[in-house]
Amino acid sequence: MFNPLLLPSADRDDRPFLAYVVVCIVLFGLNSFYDASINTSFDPNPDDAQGGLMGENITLTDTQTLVLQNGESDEVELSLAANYSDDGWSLTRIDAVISYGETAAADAACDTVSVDLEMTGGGGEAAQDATTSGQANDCSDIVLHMAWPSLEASTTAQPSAPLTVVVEVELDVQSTIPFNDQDEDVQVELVLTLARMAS
Amino acid sequence: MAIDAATELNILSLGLSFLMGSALVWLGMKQTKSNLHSRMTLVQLGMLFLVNALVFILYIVQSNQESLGYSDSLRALFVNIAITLNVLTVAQIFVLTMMYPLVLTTTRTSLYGWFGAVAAGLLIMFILAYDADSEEFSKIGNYWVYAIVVYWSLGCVLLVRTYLNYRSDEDNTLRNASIAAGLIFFAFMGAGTLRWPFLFFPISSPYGGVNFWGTQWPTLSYTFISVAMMVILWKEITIKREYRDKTLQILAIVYLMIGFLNMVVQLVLEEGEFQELWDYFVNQGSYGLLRPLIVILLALRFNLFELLDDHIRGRVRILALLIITVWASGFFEIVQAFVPLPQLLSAALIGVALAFAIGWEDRVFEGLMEDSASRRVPKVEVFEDGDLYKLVMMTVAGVLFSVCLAFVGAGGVA
Repeated sequence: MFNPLLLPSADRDDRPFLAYVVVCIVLFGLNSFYDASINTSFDPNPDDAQGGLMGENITLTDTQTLVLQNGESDEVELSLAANYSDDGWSLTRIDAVISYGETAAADAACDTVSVDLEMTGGGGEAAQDATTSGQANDCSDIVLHMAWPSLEASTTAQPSAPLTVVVEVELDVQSTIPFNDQDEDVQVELVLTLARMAS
Repeated sequence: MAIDAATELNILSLGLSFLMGSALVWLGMKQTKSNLHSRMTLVQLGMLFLVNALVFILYIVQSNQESLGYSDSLRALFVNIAITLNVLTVAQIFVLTMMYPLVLTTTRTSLYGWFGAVAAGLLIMFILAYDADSEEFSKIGNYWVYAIVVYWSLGCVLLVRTYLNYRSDEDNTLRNASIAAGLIFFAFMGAGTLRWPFLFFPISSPYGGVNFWGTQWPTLSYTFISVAMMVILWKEITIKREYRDKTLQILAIVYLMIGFLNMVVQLVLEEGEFQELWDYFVNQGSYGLLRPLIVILLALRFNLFELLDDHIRGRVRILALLIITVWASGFFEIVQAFVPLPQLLSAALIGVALAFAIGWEDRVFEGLMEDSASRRVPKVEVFEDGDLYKLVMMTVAGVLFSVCLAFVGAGGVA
């Protein structure tokens, strides 16, 4: 039935092939052992209604510094390519921290920074908890976020890639010295948290 | 991420796959003077490329959801169909390894029995995947995982067996079969070697050696494939000089180096645009661009095309030029994604590449004509005339079956 050219034969030396199979199995065993020993954070929760499913998370971070002139606005954009959803990742949280100071010398007035957080594409439901706009005029950090239910609670509420997250920053210069302050550096840190269930 | 460049590469890969697929099927059907083993192989290769073309269409549609304006649920269905069709291509590759270079069985009936078992295996895997996980989230993903674990591993083992058994054989046809097995391995499983450093040195990976879709089992097939690459490299280096095959040696070194660079990119560079581009274009490039090139090489080298027939030879030469043109465009698309070049310069470089390629094509064809008799794999008399049609119909049925499975698992990966 099987082609004799592929079957073991006394005329041929099958040891290289056997060695190949043995090396593969040993390597697989070692990798499995090593993987099991390091991935302790993925232990399943015994109370989890999903049975043998485990959750895992990754975060994607982008930090940019915008140099804005008075009255000017600019954006920081972070896109998530479709291959993330192909690999099963869903977006569960967006955090944006916008920080700035007063860099103009001898100026006592902090500038006013207004920020909006938006997401386009991705589908899913509206964020369960969100702060999508903020303003500061005392050089304090502005913290925005959008959060969706965990995958344990729902598997359809979260957006999935492709999607784009945009932070729009607008600067209104405040100055106690005329013509002393024309611009400001604003640092935007954007963190996307993705989660997926794995069996 | 430069999504436009990605879409352009998908379009070029679609064109290349469609061109390859339709040409190989057409040649397999038309070159009636050739033996049925070669024709069946050509048709199977052609059908594989045509299914790949369908997958590329789905990738293009998926990545342009906003401009095409369709719903998220429809996108989820497209994702599912792409996955089930990808599973079908894995099964097609396994079937190919059963047919070429050595046929798995000695009788036609038992060979078709094995083909039936592969089809039944797909259904069983889908049921197991559907049943194993009550969460919709990973049903289709599990189906993909099962398929690559079983079919890729078995296909790889079959090719390695042929390769190792006959690489140093004194019989020229058996040695050719061994080289053909190596070329098929790199053409269809080469992309699986790209993570070899993480498998051999798992401590270098933040996730260990085995971080594929959150489960360990796919690592089995990636291990078989990565070790096979090392085996081929070692064998090509140590084999006696007159048996050495430069193509296999170069391919093994190229994949080894790409895997090494992949490790460097993953470990040294932080998440960013370059890494995204690398992940996308290296995977896509090895899948969409290297595969057609190696298949054409295989077909030319082992007389799958009936080059002694003037009519067929003329067609194959035109085909080779068309493929070179599309391939060069795809290659420069990848280069342009990393190093932005003015369109004019890019076009000029494509022109230069084509000029060299046309010269190469002429020389290769002349060389192939000279010693075509010595480039044969063992002859088999397993197939019959109607088998070509059956093979096409089996694939069409496989596509319909895969689309139905995607509907059954709809929403599973959204």
